[in-house]
Amino acid sequence: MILCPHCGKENLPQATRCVHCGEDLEELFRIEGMEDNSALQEEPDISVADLLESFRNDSIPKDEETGSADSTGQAYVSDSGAESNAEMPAEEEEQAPEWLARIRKRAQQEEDAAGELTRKGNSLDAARSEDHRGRVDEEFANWIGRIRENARRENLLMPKPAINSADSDEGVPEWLRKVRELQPEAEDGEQFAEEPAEEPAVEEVEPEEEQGEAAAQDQAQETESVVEQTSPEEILGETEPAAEAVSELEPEPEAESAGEKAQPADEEDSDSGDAEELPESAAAPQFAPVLEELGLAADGAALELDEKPASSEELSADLLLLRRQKENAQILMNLIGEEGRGLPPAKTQRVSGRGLYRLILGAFLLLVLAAVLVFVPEAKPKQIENPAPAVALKDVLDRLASGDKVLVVLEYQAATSPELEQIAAPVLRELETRGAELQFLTTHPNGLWLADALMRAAEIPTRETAFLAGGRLGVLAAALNSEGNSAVIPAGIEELQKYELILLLEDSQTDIQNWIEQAGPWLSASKLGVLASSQNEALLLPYYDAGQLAGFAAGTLQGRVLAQALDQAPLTSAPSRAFQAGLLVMIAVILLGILSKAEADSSARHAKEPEA
Amino acid sequence: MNEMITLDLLALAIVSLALLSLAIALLTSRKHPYRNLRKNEALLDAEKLMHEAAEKGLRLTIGLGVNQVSSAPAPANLAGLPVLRLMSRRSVFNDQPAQALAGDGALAALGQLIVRGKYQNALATELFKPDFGLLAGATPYAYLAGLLPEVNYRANAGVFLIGSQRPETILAASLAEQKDLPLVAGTDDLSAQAVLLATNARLCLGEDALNAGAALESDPGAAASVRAQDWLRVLAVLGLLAGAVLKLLGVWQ
Amino acid sequence: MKKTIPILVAAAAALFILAALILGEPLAGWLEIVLNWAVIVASAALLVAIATLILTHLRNIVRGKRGFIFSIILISTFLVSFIGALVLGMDNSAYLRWVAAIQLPLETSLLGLSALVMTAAALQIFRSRGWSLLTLTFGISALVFLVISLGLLQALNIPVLTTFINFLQRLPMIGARGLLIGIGIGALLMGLRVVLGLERPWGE
Repeated sequence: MILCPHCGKENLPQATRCVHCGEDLEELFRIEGMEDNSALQEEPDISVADLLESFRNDSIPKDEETGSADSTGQAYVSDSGAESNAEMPAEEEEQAPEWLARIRKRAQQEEDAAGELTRKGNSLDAARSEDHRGRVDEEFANWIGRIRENARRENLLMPKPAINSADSDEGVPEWLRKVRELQPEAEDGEQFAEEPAEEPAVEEVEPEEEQGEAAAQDQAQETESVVEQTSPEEILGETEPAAEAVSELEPEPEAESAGEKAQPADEEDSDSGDAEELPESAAAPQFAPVLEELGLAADGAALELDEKPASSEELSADLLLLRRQKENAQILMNLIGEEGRGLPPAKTQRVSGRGLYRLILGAFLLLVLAAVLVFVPEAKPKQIENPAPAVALKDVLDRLASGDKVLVVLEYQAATSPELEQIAAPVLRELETRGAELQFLTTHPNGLWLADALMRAAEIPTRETAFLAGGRLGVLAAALNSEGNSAVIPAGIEELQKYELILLLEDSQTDIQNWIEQAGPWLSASKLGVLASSQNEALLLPYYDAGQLAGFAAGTLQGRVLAQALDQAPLTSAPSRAFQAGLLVMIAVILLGILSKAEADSSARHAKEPEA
Repeated sequence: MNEMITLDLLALAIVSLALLSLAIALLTSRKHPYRNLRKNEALLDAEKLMHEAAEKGLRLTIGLGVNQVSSAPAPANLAGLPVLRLMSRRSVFNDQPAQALAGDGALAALGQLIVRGKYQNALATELFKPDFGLLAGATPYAYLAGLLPEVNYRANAGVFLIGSQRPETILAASLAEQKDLPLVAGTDDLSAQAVLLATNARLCLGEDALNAGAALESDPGAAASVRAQDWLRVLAVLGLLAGAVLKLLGVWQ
Repeated sequence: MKKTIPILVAAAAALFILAALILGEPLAGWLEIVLNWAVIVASAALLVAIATLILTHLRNIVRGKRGFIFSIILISTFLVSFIGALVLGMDNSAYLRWVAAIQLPLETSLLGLSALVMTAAALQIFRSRGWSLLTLTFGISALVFLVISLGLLQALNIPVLTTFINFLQRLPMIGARGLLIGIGIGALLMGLRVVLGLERPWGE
């Protein structure tokens, strides 16, 4: 509102004529650019001294308050007109008409534009002592800086410090107090008891006291001490947990404030769990009673630090920690406990001398296998009853007639090719003998050169192997390719339904599942047969049992049995004896492991007995 | 054809049920997504490992698993990405940022996208190097060959093998064990699970590996997914029991 | 917007695939196109990843980073394989045998090492993990199935024993089925999370 210079009554700021006396307001008070400077119009006329006083008397400022104080402060630091109020009687200040104040401010901002009306204000400026102004400015700047710093640090330490607690007076940081609360016995233990935590804390805040800023000192000290002690080499005699301690105790989003604040909303979605806990943690003490009333507190919103005190004294809200904070404190405790011990070992104890026993074990294994390969002749295997899945596969193979199309899919690695060749070669030879029309397909680039080796091992004419790109996508496309003209499907490969049998040569669970899950639903159950490495048997059984597979043979043993059933000789180079020898070694090793553990336990028991 | 339609309907019913469970889990645990949640111990250890790596100024290495060449990543392949996301976020300003290795092109690209994104979010793009997320090899053994030197890296604090791993991964696990490196492993491969059980690895068995974000409290969606999974598992068990009883009674042939 | 588009694309693609699989014929043609796109994008991702790998190793060589000798080996073998395939063609049997001759021993030796490590792990499991239900179950089942895998018991051709072995061989199916159901449910929910935008594998 503006006051009419004629009648002294209030008018709207935009009024050009007084609504009470009808006199013009426009002519007298219009100054170029003034209309746009709304900030100046709205600023309260407060002196720096008042402002400082109010800051001194104020409690710990919050973020927003700091922000506003900052902006206000900046406006006033350069406001020499306002500073002159220190010499001006308060009554005069209050009685000065608003137009005068506005003109003074305007004149302060634009010295060149100062006319007769601003001379008075400028002369007051000149009259003011330079020393005094410098001191006030410095003091004010110090205060603003300190307040900002305090607010920032307080933000970092979200668990709000208990202002009046006795511990705080001793300078013990809030996080440490809460950790101690978690494990009260630790205070008597080696970790904390010997550390005179109070002394460094007090030392740290001494400079503050020396400055003689008494008014807000206690509160500021409280906050500052919490942060300044985050170098626990002074408190705990250890260096590293310092930053960790702070980061552990602060809620997640704050830890990443720099990056995460700039993060868009959808990132927040993924972190919303943490984000939700932030306000909760900050406001927990205040909201705890309310939550209790609502019956939510018992649901784990806040946990008590410890068992109820023996004195049955009620814990204050400040001694409550959120579950997350408690967990973080626990992690911190563990870290402090493990400090200086190096990286923790794996969950279990490492046994020394492993290199040697590995060497011995490896040499033994190799020796046995080599001996078997060299000295033990490959005997004709005895007739073994075929496992049901292999019998089922044999039945499917038996039903094939000359000219029936069979798609052989190679999905194995070079490492397992000897095993797969041993299983697949007799089957391919049988199919060739029956006059089936074989086509080869692979989804692995490896398959292109492994197919060549397989065909040579099976002693069948070499055929071109098609490459199906896209992995499981390609398999799905092939299964859906009803017209046989998909761009993904290689030339020559027809609609999968047209094949009498799709024979998968597999060494990986993923590849098997791809065919069963992507192509299976579009094929009849009798069309998928699998020849796989032995470790996949457990996976294949449920699929076979559920009728999703026509049959399978997994491992060299089943492969040999299947070959016998098909009246095909297994590969002469097949080291089945070596495989059996390897299995025997493995059995021996497991037994040895059991015995050695039992022996170690027994030794340990005997070692304890004499002591007892 | 009728069988196909029945299968389709069955699939649709299962998908709808899963969707419903997920929605209910999301709604009911909206405010406190991780409260009373079943968490895998191995992944809880992973959380600690991340802190330790940061404290010691060491690196964490994660193997994201293998996939078929030029295929889209399967759900199991995506299992390691939440871990990588959290790991990268925490190690942006570490002395040694996290190192991700993938056995598939799309997975490697996703991994690098995640790591780069974390650096962008932290306004520290200049610190990002493409080496932080690499293709270790395009075939399972090439992946293993690429993974082993990284596990052997002198400044490693720990190793994560989460995703679609093969039994041969035991070589990496054994190397980590020899170097006294903590190892967290999770895979959907049955053989790999069995093999890794014989090592010192902290294991996520079964589908726990798919919900790493829940245990690490970095993904409320994953937390809801764990709850929904539990409900669906109970339903599956009831369904299996009912099926067995019906079959025994001769009602269902 | 930058974050929303991928979610929309993922959700639309997933819903389309589901709809096409269930509805069948009306969307079959479109499904084929979408699958082609997906294969091309996945292949392009592989190319990008390979390019990044090569660039990283080139950088290692240029900077003389520790272990750069391995980078030289990697790049030279990549170039030889790549150029060999371009010049000779992927169907050239000499080229295929040449690649197989390198790859086969390398991979086989890795597998052999795995076998050795597994053996060592089997020896250590009880010492490292101690006696527990898990380790005991593991040890007993490993022994039982190793003995069955030998085939010696089956060779005895004793009907009762064979029936018992068949029963034992079906036991893993129970555990495997349970695990598969669990993993299937997990995968389904993971897929739904992607469709709903709750899980953003592409997002940072």
